[in-house]
Amino acid sequence: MRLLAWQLRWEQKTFWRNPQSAFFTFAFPLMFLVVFATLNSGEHLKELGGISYNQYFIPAILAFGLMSACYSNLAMGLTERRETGALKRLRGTPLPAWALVGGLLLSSLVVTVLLAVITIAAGVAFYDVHPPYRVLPLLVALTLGTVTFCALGIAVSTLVPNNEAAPAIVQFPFFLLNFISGVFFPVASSSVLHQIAAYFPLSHLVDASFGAFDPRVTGSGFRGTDLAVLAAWAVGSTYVAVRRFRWEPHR
Amino acid sequence: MSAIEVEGLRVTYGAVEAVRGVDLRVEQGEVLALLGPNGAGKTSTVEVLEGFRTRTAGRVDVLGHDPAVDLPRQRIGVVLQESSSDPYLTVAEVLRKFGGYYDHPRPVEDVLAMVGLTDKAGARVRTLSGGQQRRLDVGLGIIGSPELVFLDEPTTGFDPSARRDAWDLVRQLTGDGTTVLLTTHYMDEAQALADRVVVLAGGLVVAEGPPATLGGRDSQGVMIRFDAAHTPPFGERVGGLWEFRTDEEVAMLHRLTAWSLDTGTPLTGLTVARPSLEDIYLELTS
Repeated sequence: MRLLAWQLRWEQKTFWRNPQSAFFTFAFPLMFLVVFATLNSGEHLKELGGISYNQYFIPAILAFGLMSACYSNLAMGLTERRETGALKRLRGTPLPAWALVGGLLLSSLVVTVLLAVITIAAGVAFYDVHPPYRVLPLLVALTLGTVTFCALGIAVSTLVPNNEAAPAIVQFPFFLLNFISGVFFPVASSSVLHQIAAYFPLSHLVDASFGAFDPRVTGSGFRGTDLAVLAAWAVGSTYVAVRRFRWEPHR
Repeated sequence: MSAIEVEGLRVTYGAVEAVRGVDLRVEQGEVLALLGPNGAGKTSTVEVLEGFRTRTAGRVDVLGHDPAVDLPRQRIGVVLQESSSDPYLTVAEVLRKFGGYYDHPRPVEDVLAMVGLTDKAGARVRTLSGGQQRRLDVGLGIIGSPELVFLDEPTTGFDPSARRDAWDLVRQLTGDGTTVLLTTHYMDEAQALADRVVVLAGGLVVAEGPPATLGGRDSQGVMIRFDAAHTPPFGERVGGLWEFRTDEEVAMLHRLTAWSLDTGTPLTGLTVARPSLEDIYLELTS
Protein backbone atom coordinates (compact mmCIF):
# COMPACT_ATOMS: atom_id res chain seq x y z
CA MET A 1 0.00 0.00 0.00
CA ARG A 2 2.82 2.36 0.91
CA LEU A 3 4.52 1.56 -2.42
CA LEU A 4 1.28 2.18 -4.34
CA ALA A 5 0.86 5.57 -2.70
CA TRP A 6 4.52 6.33 -3.39
CA GLN A 7 4.15 5.41 -7.08
CA LEU A 8 0.92 7.40 -7.39
CA ARG A 9 2.60 10.45 -5.95
CA TRP A 10 5.54 10.32 -8.38
CA GLU A 11 3.41 9.39 -11.38
CA GLN A 12 1.25 12.43 -10.68
CA LYS A 13 4.26 14.69 -10.30
CA THR A 14 5.69 13.38 -13.55
CA PHE A 15 2.36 13.77 -15.34
CA TRP A 16 1.90 17.41 -14.40
CA ARG A 17 5.52 18.28 -15.12
CA ASN A 18 5.34 16.87 -18.64
CA PRO A 19 3.80 19.61 -20.77
CA GLN A 20 2.94 17.13 -23.51
CA SER A 21 0.85 14.77 -21.40
CA ALA A 22 -0.85 17.60 -19.55
CA PHE A 23 -1.63 19.39 -22.82
CA PHE A 24 -2.97 16.45 -24.79
CA THR A 25 -4.95 15.09 -21.88
CA PHE A 26 -6.65 18.30 -20.82
CA ALA A 27 -6.33 20.98 -23.47
CA PHE A 28 -7.29 18.69 -26.35
CA PRO A 29 -10.66 17.41 -25.10
CA LEU A 30 -11.50 20.78 -23.58
CA MET A 31 -10.77 22.49 -26.90
CA PHE A 32 -13.08 20.04 -28.70
CA LEU A 33 -15.64 20.56 -25.97
CA VAL A 34 -15.68 24.33 -26.39
CA VAL A 35 -15.71 24.25 -30.21
CA PHE A 36 -18.40 21.60 -30.68
CA ALA A 37 -20.53 22.57 -27.71
CA THR A 38 -20.54 26.21 -28.81
CA LEU A 39 -21.19 25.48 -32.49
CA ASN A 40 -24.07 23.10 -31.72
CA SER A 41 -25.48 24.96 -28.79
CA GLY A 42 -29.28 25.00 -29.17
CA GLU A 43 -29.29 22.00 -31.53
CA HIS A 44 -31.47 19.03 -30.69
CA LEU A 45 -31.00 15.41 -31.62
CA LYS A 46 -34.15 13.98 -33.19
CA GLU A 47 -32.78 10.41 -33.09
CA LEU A 48 -32.39 10.67 -29.31
CA GLY A 49 -35.91 11.87 -28.65
CA GLY A 50 -35.12 15.53 -29.18
CA ILE A 51 -32.69 16.03 -26.27
CA SER A 52 -30.15 18.82 -26.61
CA TYR A 53 -26.93 18.10 -28.49
CA ASN A 54 -24.81 19.01 -25.49
CA GLN A 55 -26.68 16.65 -23.16
CA TYR A 56 -25.27 13.94 -25.44
CA PHE A 57 -21.94 15.54 -26.32
CA ILE A 58 -20.64 16.26 -22.79
CA PRO A 59 -20.61 12.58 -21.67
CA ALA A 60 -19.36 11.57 -25.12
CA ILE A 61 -16.39 13.96 -25.08
CA LEU A 62 -15.71 12.78 -21.53
CA ALA A 63 -15.31 9.26 -22.92
CA PHE A 64 -12.91 10.66 -25.52
CA GLY A 65 -10.89 12.42 -22.80
CA LEU A 66 -10.79 9.25 -20.72
CA MET A 67 -9.49 7.20 -23.62
CA SER A 68 -6.87 9.82 -24.36
CA ALA A 69 -5.82 10.09 -20.70
CA CYS A 70 -5.59 6.34 -20.18
CA TYR A 71 -4.95 4.62 -23.49
CA SER A 72 -2.80 7.22 -25.28
CA ASN A 73 -0.84 8.27 -22.22
CA LEU A 74 0.03 4.72 -21.21
CA ALA A 75 0.71 3.37 -24.69
CA MET A 76 2.97 6.31 -25.58
CA GLY A 77 4.47 6.74 -22.11
CA LEU A 78 5.32 3.08 -21.53
CA THR A 79 6.83 2.75 -25.01
CA GLU A 80 9.04 5.72 -24.29
CA ARG A 81 10.01 4.46 -20.84
CA ARG A 82 10.84 1.07 -22.26
CA GLU A 83 12.87 2.34 -25.19
CA THR A 84 14.87 4.82 -23.11
CA GLY A 85 15.78 2.10 -20.62
CA ALA A 86 13.76 3.58 -17.76
CA LEU A 87 11.75 0.36 -17.34
CA LYS A 88 14.85 -1.80 -17.37
CA ARG A 89 16.35 0.38 -14.69
CA LEU A 90 13.21 0.01 -12.55
CA ARG A 91 13.44 -3.74 -12.96
CA GLY A 92 16.83 -3.57 -11.24
CA THR A 93 15.20 -2.10 -8.12
CA PRO A 94 13.01 -3.87 -5.55
CA LEU A 95 9.89 -2.17 -6.98
CA PRO A 96 7.46 -4.98 -7.86
CA ALA A 97 5.72 -4.89 -11.25
CA TRP A 98 2.26 -4.75 -9.64
CA ALA A 99 3.19 -1.51 -7.87
CA LEU A 100 4.41 0.05 -11.12
CA VAL A 101 1.21 -0.88 -12.97
CA GLY A 102 -0.98 -0.08 -9.98
CA GLY A 103 0.58 3.37 -9.68
CA LEU A 104 -0.05 4.06 -13.36
CA LEU A 105 -3.66 2.89 -13.02
CA LEU A 106 -4.33 5.00 -9.93
CA SER A 107 -2.70 8.02 -11.50
CA SER A 108 -4.88 7.60 -14.61
CA LEU A 109 -7.92 7.30 -12.37
CA VAL A 110 -7.06 10.59 -10.65
CA VAL A 111 -6.70 12.28 -14.05
CA THR A 112 -10.00 10.77 -15.22
CA VAL A 113 -11.88 11.99 -12.16
CA LEU A 114 -10.46 15.47 -12.62
CA LEU A 115 -11.32 15.43 -16.30
CA ALA A 116 -14.87 14.28 -15.49
CA VAL A 117 -15.36 17.04 -12.94
CA ILE A 118 -14.10 19.74 -15.32
CA THR A 119 -16.05 18.43 -18.32
CA ILE A 120 -19.34 18.04 -16.47
CA ALA A 121 -18.92 21.35 -14.64
CA ALA A 122 -18.27 23.15 -17.93
CA GLY A 123 -21.32 21.50 -19.49
CA VAL A 124 -23.57 22.41 -16.58
CA ALA A 125 -22.23 25.94 -16.19
CA PHE A 126 -22.00 27.05 -19.80
CA TYR A 127 -23.98 24.69 -22.02
CA ASP A 128 -27.24 24.06 -20.16
CA VAL A 129 -26.43 20.43 -19.54
CA HIS A 130 -28.41 18.67 -16.84
CA PRO A 131 -26.09 17.02 -14.25
CA PRO A 132 -26.00 13.21 -14.44
CA TYR A 133 -29.31 11.65 -13.49
CA ARG A 134 -27.58 8.56 -12.22
CA VAL A 135 -24.25 9.03 -10.47
CA LEU A 136 -23.36 5.45 -9.50
CA PRO A 137 -23.71 4.04 -13.04
CA LEU A 138 -21.54 6.92 -14.28
CA LEU A 139 -18.83 6.20 -11.69
CA VAL A 140 -18.92 2.50 -12.54
CA ALA A 141 -18.68 3.25 -16.27
CA LEU A 142 -15.76 5.66 -15.81
CA THR A 143 -13.88 3.35 -13.44
CA LEU A 144 -14.32 0.33 -15.69
CA GLY A 145 -13.42 2.52 -18.66
CA THR A 146 -10.21 3.60 -16.92
CA VAL A 147 -9.22 0.00 -16.20
CA THR A 148 -10.08 -1.10 -19.75
CA PHE A 149 -8.23 1.69 -21.53
CA CYS A 150 -5.21 1.48 -19.22
CA ALA A 151 -4.97 -2.24 -19.94
CA LEU A 152 -5.41 -1.55 -23.66
CA GLY A 153 -2.72 1.12 -23.51
CA ILE A 154 -0.26 -1.25 -21.87
CA ALA A 155 -1.16 -4.00 -24.35
CA VAL A 156 -0.67 -1.69 -27.35
CA SER A 157 2.65 -0.42 -25.98
CA THR A 158 3.92 -4.01 -26.27
CA LEU A 159 3.09 -3.96 -29.99
CA VAL A 160 5.07 -0.78 -30.68
CA PRO A 161 8.63 -1.55 -31.80
CA ASN A 162 10.16 1.88 -31.12
CA ASN A 163 9.46 5.46 -30.15
CA GLU A 164 9.22 6.68 -33.74
CA ALA A 165 6.45 4.22 -34.58
CA ALA A 166 4.42 5.06 -31.47
CA PRO A 167 2.27 7.94 -32.80
CA ALA A 168 1.22 5.99 -35.90
CA ILE A 169 0.41 2.74 -34.10
CA VAL A 170 -1.13 4.32 -31.01
CA GLN A 171 -2.91 7.41 -32.26
CA PHE A 172 -4.11 6.51 -35.74
CA PRO A 173 -6.58 3.80 -34.63
CA PHE A 174 -7.68 6.07 -31.80
CA PHE A 175 -8.64 8.87 -34.18
CA LEU A 176 -10.41 6.51 -36.58
CA LEU A 177 -12.30 5.03 -33.67
CA ASN A 178 -13.41 8.49 -32.53
CA PHE A 179 -15.24 9.16 -35.74
CA ILE A 180 -17.18 5.91 -35.85
CA SER A 181 -17.88 5.62 -32.12
CA GLY A 182 -20.24 8.58 -31.80
CA VAL A 183 -17.94 10.93 -29.92
CA PHE A 184 -18.96 14.00 -31.90
CA PHE A 185 -22.39 12.93 -33.18
CA PRO A 186 -24.45 9.87 -32.45
CA VAL A 187 -24.01 7.23 -35.15
CA ALA A 188 -27.22 5.55 -36.33
CA SER A 189 -27.35 2.05 -34.90
CA SER A 190 -28.34 0.54 -38.27
CA SER A 191 -25.24 1.92 -40.04
CA VAL A 192 -22.25 -0.21 -40.97
CA LEU A 193 -19.96 2.20 -39.12
CA HIS A 194 -21.86 1.63 -35.91
CA GLN A 195 -21.70 -2.11 -36.36
CA ILE A 196 -17.93 -1.91 -36.79
CA ALA A 197 -17.59 0.43 -33.83
CA ALA A 198 -19.63 -1.97 -31.68
CA TYR A 199 -16.69 -4.41 -31.71
CA PHE A 200 -14.46 -1.81 -30.06
CA PRO A 201 -14.66 -0.43 -26.53
CA LEU A 202 -14.98 3.31 -27.17
CA SER A 203 -18.58 3.35 -28.45
CA HIS A 204 -19.63 1.31 -25.43
CA LEU A 205 -17.94 3.75 -23.07
CA VAL A 206 -19.71 6.62 -24.87
CA ASP A 207 -23.06 4.82 -24.48
CA ALA A 208 -22.48 3.86 -20.86
CA SER A 209 -21.41 7.37 -20.02
CA PHE A 210 -24.32 8.95 -21.93
CA GLY A 211 -26.72 6.58 -20.18
CA ALA A 212 -26.16 8.51 -16.96
CA PHE A 213 -27.08 11.78 -18.69
CA ASP A 214 -30.03 10.49 -20.71
CA PRO A 215 -33.32 11.82 -19.23
CA ARG A 216 -35.26 9.03 -20.98
CA VAL A 217 -33.49 6.19 -19.19
CA THR A 218 -35.55 4.28 -16.66
CA GLY A 219 -34.50 1.56 -14.23
CA SER A 220 -31.11 1.25 -12.56
CA GLY A 221 -29.22 3.00 -15.36
CA PHE A 222 -26.52 0.33 -15.58
CA ARG A 223 -25.94 -0.67 -19.19
CA GLY A 224 -25.09 -4.34 -18.92
CA THR A 225 -24.07 -5.00 -22.51
CA ASP A 226 -21.80 -1.96 -22.72
CA LEU A 227 -20.13 -2.80 -19.41
CA ALA A 228 -19.72 -6.42 -20.49
CA VAL A 229 -17.96 -5.41 -23.72
CA LEU A 230 -15.67 -3.05 -21.80
CA ALA A 231 -14.88 -5.81 -19.30
CA ALA A 232 -14.14 -8.24 -22.13
CA TRP A 233 -11.69 -5.76 -23.64
CA ALA A 234 -10.10 -5.29 -20.23
CA VAL A 235 -9.58 -9.03 -19.85
CA GLY A 236 -8.26 -9.47 -23.42
CA SER A 237 -5.92 -6.49 -23.09
CA THR A 238 -4.61 -7.69 -19.75
CA TYR A 239 -3.90 -11.08 -21.26
CA VAL A 240 -1.92 -9.54 -24.14
CA ALA A 241 -0.14 -7.12 -21.78
CA VAL A 242 0.93 -9.85 -19.37
CA ARG A 243 2.03 -12.19 -22.15
CA ARG A 244 3.96 -9.65 -24.17
CA PHE A 245 5.23 -7.11 -21.63
CA ARG A 246 8.95 -6.45 -21.84
CA TRP A 247 11.19 -4.27 -19.72
CA GLU A 248 14.06 -3.98 -22.12
CA PRO A 249 14.39 -1.67 -25.10
CA HIS A 250 14.49 -3.09 -28.61
CA ARG A 251 17.91 -2.53 -30.07
CA MET B 1 31.09 -17.04 1.36
CA SER B 2 31.57 -15.46 -2.05
CA ALA B 3 29.27 -12.69 -3.23
CA ILE B 4 29.03 -14.24 -6.69
CA GLU B 5 29.73 -17.79 -7.82
CA VAL B 6 29.35 -18.93 -11.40
CA GLU B 7 30.12 -22.38 -12.75
CA GLY B 8 29.88 -23.49 -16.36
CA LEU B 9 27.63 -20.62 -17.42
CA ARG B 10 26.28 -20.90 -20.94
CA VAL B 11 24.00 -18.49 -22.77
CA THR B 12 22.82 -19.23 -26.28
CA TYR B 13 20.63 -17.19 -28.58
CA GLY B 14 19.28 -19.55 -31.20
CA ALA B 15 22.38 -20.99 -32.83
CA VAL B 16 24.71 -18.35 -31.38
CA GLU B 17 26.66 -19.25 -28.25
CA ALA B 18 27.39 -15.95 -26.54
CA VAL B 19 28.74 -17.49 -23.33
CA ARG B 20 30.35 -20.91 -23.64
CA GLY B 21 31.14 -22.12 -20.14
CA VAL B 22 32.29 -19.32 -17.86
CA ASP B 23 33.48 -19.84 -14.29
CA LEU B 24 33.59 -16.79 -12.09
CA ARG B 25 33.92 -16.00 -8.42
CA VAL B 26 33.70 -12.62 -6.75
CA GLU B 27 34.61 -12.44 -3.08
CA GLN B 28 32.81 -10.15 -0.67
CA GLY B 29 34.29 -6.66 -0.67
CA GLU B 30 36.22 -7.34 -3.85
CA VAL B 31 36.27 -5.24 -7.01
CA LEU B 32 36.30 -7.52 -10.01
CA ALA B 33 36.73 -6.06 -13.47
CA LEU B 34 35.30 -7.96 -16.40
CA LEU B 35 37.24 -7.04 -19.53
CA GLY B 36 36.66 -8.08 -23.08
CA PRO B 37 35.98 -6.82 -26.57
CA ASN B 38 32.44 -6.35 -27.89
CA GLY B 39 30.79 -9.72 -28.39
CA ALA B 40 32.98 -11.42 -25.80
CA GLY B 41 29.96 -12.34 -23.69
CA LYS B 42 30.46 -9.68 -21.00
CA THR B 43 26.99 -8.20 -21.21
CA SER B 44 25.27 -11.59 -21.43
CA THR B 45 27.18 -12.82 -18.37
CA VAL B 46 26.40 -9.72 -16.32
CA GLU B 47 22.75 -9.69 -17.37
CA VAL B 48 22.34 -13.26 -16.13
CA LEU B 49 23.80 -12.18 -12.78
CA GLU B 50 21.51 -9.13 -12.69
CA GLY B 51 18.48 -11.33 -13.30
CA PHE B 52 17.70 -9.73 -16.67
CA ARG B 53 18.47 -12.75 -18.81
CA THR B 54 17.88 -16.47 -18.48
CA ARG B 55 20.84 -18.80 -18.81
CA THR B 56 21.00 -21.88 -20.97
CA ALA B 57 23.11 -23.91 -18.55
CA GLY B 58 25.36 -23.64 -15.53
CA ARG B 59 25.14 -22.83 -11.85
CA VAL B 60 24.82 -19.21 -10.71
CA ASP B 61 24.70 -17.88 -7.18
CA VAL B 62 24.38 -14.18 -6.33
CA LEU B 63 24.37 -13.33 -2.60
CA GLY B 64 23.13 -16.84 -1.91
CA HIS B 65 20.31 -16.70 -4.45
CA ASP B 66 19.74 -18.08 -7.91
CA PRO B 67 18.93 -15.02 -10.05
CA ALA B 68 16.68 -17.15 -12.30
CA VAL B 69 14.43 -17.70 -9.26
CA ASP B 70 14.76 -14.55 -7.18
CA LEU B 71 17.30 -11.88 -6.38
CA PRO B 72 17.56 -9.93 -3.12
CA ARG B 73 17.12 -6.62 -4.94
CA GLN B 74 17.19 -4.76 -1.64
CA ARG B 75 20.89 -5.64 -1.37
CA ILE B 76 21.89 -5.08 -5.00
CA GLY B 77 22.52 -1.94 -7.03
CA VAL B 78 22.53 -2.00 -10.81
CA VAL B 79 24.07 0.69 -13.00
CA LEU B 80 23.17 -0.09 -16.58
CA GLN B 81 25.11 0.92 -19.64
CA GLU B 82 22.42 3.13 -21.04
CA SER B 83 19.30 4.05 -19.23
CA SER B 84 17.37 7.13 -18.43
CA SER B 85 15.11 8.11 -15.64
CA ASP B 86 12.27 10.55 -15.21
CA PRO B 87 13.30 13.56 -17.34
CA TYR B 88 10.80 15.90 -15.71
CA LEU B 89 11.79 15.29 -12.11
CA THR B 90 14.73 17.01 -10.46
CA VAL B 91 17.91 15.17 -9.53
CA ALA B 92 17.04 15.18 -5.83
CA GLU B 93 13.47 14.03 -6.56
CA VAL B 94 14.59 11.06 -8.63
CA LEU B 95 16.99 10.02 -5.90
CA ARG B 96 14.22 10.36 -3.31
CA LYS B 97 11.80 8.38 -5.49
CA PHE B 98 14.24 5.51 -5.95
CA GLY B 99 15.28 5.66 -2.30
CA GLY B 100 11.65 4.92 -1.45
CA TYR B 101 12.02 1.46 -3.01
CA TYR B 102 14.63 0.38 -0.45
CA ASP B 103 14.43 -0.53 3.22
CA HIS B 104 17.66 1.28 4.10
CA PRO B 105 18.29 4.07 1.61
CA ARG B 106 21.29 6.36 1.86
CA PRO B 107 20.32 9.97 2.60
CA VAL B 108 19.78 11.87 -0.67
CA GLU B 109 22.28 14.58 0.36
CA ASP B 110 24.98 11.95 0.92
CA VAL B 111 24.46 10.44 -2.51
CA LEU B 112 24.41 13.88 -4.14
CA ALA B 113 27.75 14.62 -2.53
CA MET B 114 29.21 11.21 -3.41
CA VAL B 115 28.44 11.60 -7.12
CA GLY B 116 29.23 15.31 -7.18
CA LEU B 117 25.74 16.54 -8.05
CA THR B 118 25.04 18.68 -5.00
CA ASP B 119 24.96 21.80 -7.18
CA LYS B 120 22.50 20.13 -9.53
CA ALA B 121 20.08 18.85 -6.88
CA GLY B 122 17.29 21.14 -8.08
CA ALA B 123 17.90 20.72 -11.82
CA ARG B 124 15.50 18.76 -14.01
CA VAL B 125 17.06 15.50 -15.15
CA ARG B 126 16.59 16.35 -18.83
CA THR B 127 18.78 19.46 -18.48
CA LEU B 128 21.80 17.44 -17.30
CA SER B 129 24.83 16.88 -19.51
CA GLY B 130 25.74 13.34 -20.53
CA GLY B 131 28.37 13.06 -17.82
CA GLN B 132 26.06 14.42 -15.14
CA GLN B 133 23.35 11.99 -16.22
CA ARG B 134 25.83 9.14 -15.90
CA ARG B 135 26.75 10.28 -12.39
CA LEU B 136 23.05 10.28 -11.54
CA ASP B 137 22.88 6.71 -12.90
CA VAL B 138 25.62 5.73 -10.48
CA GLY B 139 23.83 7.60 -7.68
CA LEU B 140 20.62 5.66 -8.36
CA GLY B 141 22.63 2.44 -8.29
CA ILE B 142 23.92 3.11 -4.78
CA ILE B 143 20.93 4.89 -3.20
CA GLY B 144 19.76 1.66 -1.54
CA SER B 145 23.11 1.11 0.27
CA PRO B 146 23.68 -2.13 -1.65
CA GLU B 147 26.18 -4.83 -0.66
CA LEU B 148 26.80 -5.65 -4.30
CA VAL B 149 26.94 -3.16 -7.17
CA PHE B 150 27.02 -3.95 -10.86
CA LEU B 151 28.72 -1.16 -12.80
CA ASP B 152 28.40 -1.55 -16.54
CA GLU B 153 30.94 0.70 -18.25
CA PRO B 154 30.43 3.44 -15.68
CA THR B 155 32.78 6.03 -17.20
CA THR B 156 32.12 5.69 -20.93
CA GLY B 157 31.88 9.20 -22.30
CA PHE B 158 33.51 10.86 -19.28
CA ASP B 159 36.26 13.41 -19.61
CA PRO B 160 39.50 12.52 -17.79
CA SER B 161 38.75 14.51 -14.66
CA ALA B 162 35.22 13.11 -14.39
CA ARG B 163 36.71 9.62 -14.72
CA ARG B 164 39.07 10.30 -11.80
CA ASP B 165 36.08 11.44 -9.74
CA ALA B 166 34.16 8.29 -10.65
CA TRP B 167 37.14 6.18 -9.65
CA ASP B 168 37.31 7.94 -6.31
CA LEU B 169 33.64 7.16 -5.86
CA VAL B 170 34.18 3.45 -6.55
CA ARG B 171 37.11 3.43 -4.10
CA GLN B 172 34.88 5.09 -1.52
CA LEU B 173 32.29 2.35 -2.02
CA THR B 174 34.81 -0.44 -1.68
CA GLY B 175 36.16 1.25 1.43
CA ASP B 176 32.72 0.52 2.90
CA GLY B 177 33.09 -3.15 2.00
CA THR B 178 30.77 -3.04 -1.01
CA THR B 179 31.39 -5.72 -3.61
CA VAL B 180 31.70 -4.34 -7.14
CA LEU B 181 31.47 -6.14 -10.45
CA LEU B 182 32.73 -3.71 -13.03
CA THR B 183 32.67 -4.16 -16.79
CA THR B 184 34.87 -1.85 -18.76
CA HIS B 185 36.73 -1.32 -22.02
CA TYR B 186 39.42 0.75 -20.35
CA MET B 187 42.61 -0.97 -19.21
CA ASP B 188 43.63 1.91 -17.00
CA GLU B 189 40.25 1.75 -15.28
CA ALA B 190 40.67 -1.93 -14.51
CA GLN B 191 44.19 -1.26 -13.32
CA ALA B 192 43.14 1.64 -11.11
CA LEU B 193 40.14 0.00 -9.49
CA ALA B 194 40.13 -3.76 -9.68
CA ASP B 195 41.53 -6.23 -7.20
CA ARG B 196 41.18 -8.86 -9.86
CA VAL B 197 40.61 -8.85 -13.60
CA VAL B 198 38.83 -11.49 -15.67
CA VAL B 199 39.29 -11.28 -19.42
CA LEU B 200 36.56 -12.75 -21.61
CA ALA B 201 36.93 -13.48 -25.30
CA GLY B 202 34.65 -15.51 -27.52
CA GLY B 203 32.42 -16.43 -24.60
CA LEU B 204 35.24 -17.92 -22.53
CA VAL B 205 37.53 -16.75 -19.72
CA VAL B 206 40.95 -16.39 -21.32
CA ALA B 207 42.82 -14.91 -18.37
CA GLU B 208 42.28 -14.11 -14.74
CA GLY B 209 44.36 -12.50 -12.04
CA PRO B 210 45.36 -9.32 -10.29
CA PRO B 211 46.06 -6.51 -12.79
CA ALA B 212 49.77 -6.58 -11.95
CA THR B 213 50.28 -10.23 -12.87
CA LEU B 214 47.56 -10.78 -15.46
CA GLY B 215 48.60 -12.99 -18.35
CA GLY B 216 52.12 -13.41 -16.92
CA ARG B 217 52.64 -9.69 -17.16
CA ASP B 218 55.14 -9.74 -14.29
CA SER B 219 57.13 -12.68 -15.68
CA GLN B 220 57.33 -11.76 -19.32
CA GLY B 221 60.39 -9.62 -18.85
CA VAL B 222 60.86 -6.01 -19.73
CA MET B 223 61.09 -4.33 -23.09
CA ILE B 224 64.07 -2.05 -23.65
CA ARG B 225 63.77 0.45 -26.50
CA PHE B 226 66.13 3.15 -27.75
CA ASP B 227 67.53 4.74 -30.84
CA ALA B 228 71.20 4.83 -31.82
CA ALA B 229 73.19 6.03 -34.82
CA HIS B 230 75.11 2.73 -35.09
CA THR B 231 73.97 -0.87 -34.94
CA PRO B 232 74.07 -2.00 -31.29
CA PRO B 233 75.41 -5.45 -30.24
CA PHE B 234 71.84 -6.75 -29.65
CA GLY B 235 68.26 -5.74 -30.46
CA GLU B 236 65.97 -5.63 -33.43
CA ARG B 237 64.91 -2.67 -35.47
CA VAL B 238 61.13 -2.25 -35.00
CA GLY B 239 59.18 0.84 -35.94
CA GLY B 240 62.20 3.16 -36.15
CA LEU B 241 63.63 2.03 -32.80
CA TRP B 242 65.89 -0.71 -31.52
CA GLU B 243 64.21 -3.02 -29.04
CA PHE B 244 64.76 -6.24 -27.14
CA ARG B 245 63.02 -8.17 -24.43
CA THR B 246 64.92 -9.50 -21.42
CA ASP B 247 64.48 -11.01 -17.97
CA GLU B 248 67.83 -9.61 -16.83
CA GLU B 249 67.37 -5.94 -17.39
CA VAL B 250 70.15 -4.82 -15.00
CA ALA B 251 72.89 -6.83 -16.70
CA MET B 252 71.63 -6.02 -20.19
CA LEU B 253 71.41 -2.32 -19.45
CA HIS B 254 74.93 -2.45 -18.07
CA ARG B 255 76.22 -3.98 -21.30
CA LEU B 256 74.22 -1.57 -23.44
CA THR B 257 75.40 1.55 -21.65
CA ALA B 258 79.01 0.23 -21.67
CA TRP B 259 78.76 -0.17 -25.46
CA SER B 260 77.35 3.33 -25.72
CA LEU B 261 80.20 4.91 -23.72
CA ASP B 262 82.95 2.82 -25.39
CA THR B 263 81.84 3.65 -28.92
CA GLY B 264 80.63 7.20 -28.15
CA THR B 265 77.16 6.34 -29.52
CA PRO B 266 74.40 8.15 -27.61
CA LEU B 267 71.24 6.16 -26.70
CA THR B 268 68.33 8.46 -27.44
CA GLY B 269 64.85 7.93 -26.04
CA LEU B 270 65.90 4.98 -23.88
CA THR B 271 62.92 3.33 -22.17
CA VAL B 272 62.62 0.28 -19.94
CA ALA B 273 59.02 -0.95 -19.58
CA ARG B 274 56.95 -3.94 -18.56
CA PRO B 275 54.23 -4.86 -21.04
CA SER B 276 51.20 -2.70 -20.26
CA LEU B 277 47.89 -4.25 -19.29
CA GLU B 278 46.74 -3.10 -22.68
CA ASP B 279 49.52 -5.07 -24.43
CA ILE B 280 48.51 -8.18 -22.50
CA TYR B 281 44.84 -7.61 -23.18
CA LEU B 282 45.40 -7.22 -26.93
CA GLU B 283 47.56 -10.34 -26.93
CA LEU B 284 44.87 -12.32 -25.08
CA THR B 285 41.87 -11.22 -27.05
CA SER B 286 43.22 -11.12 -30.59
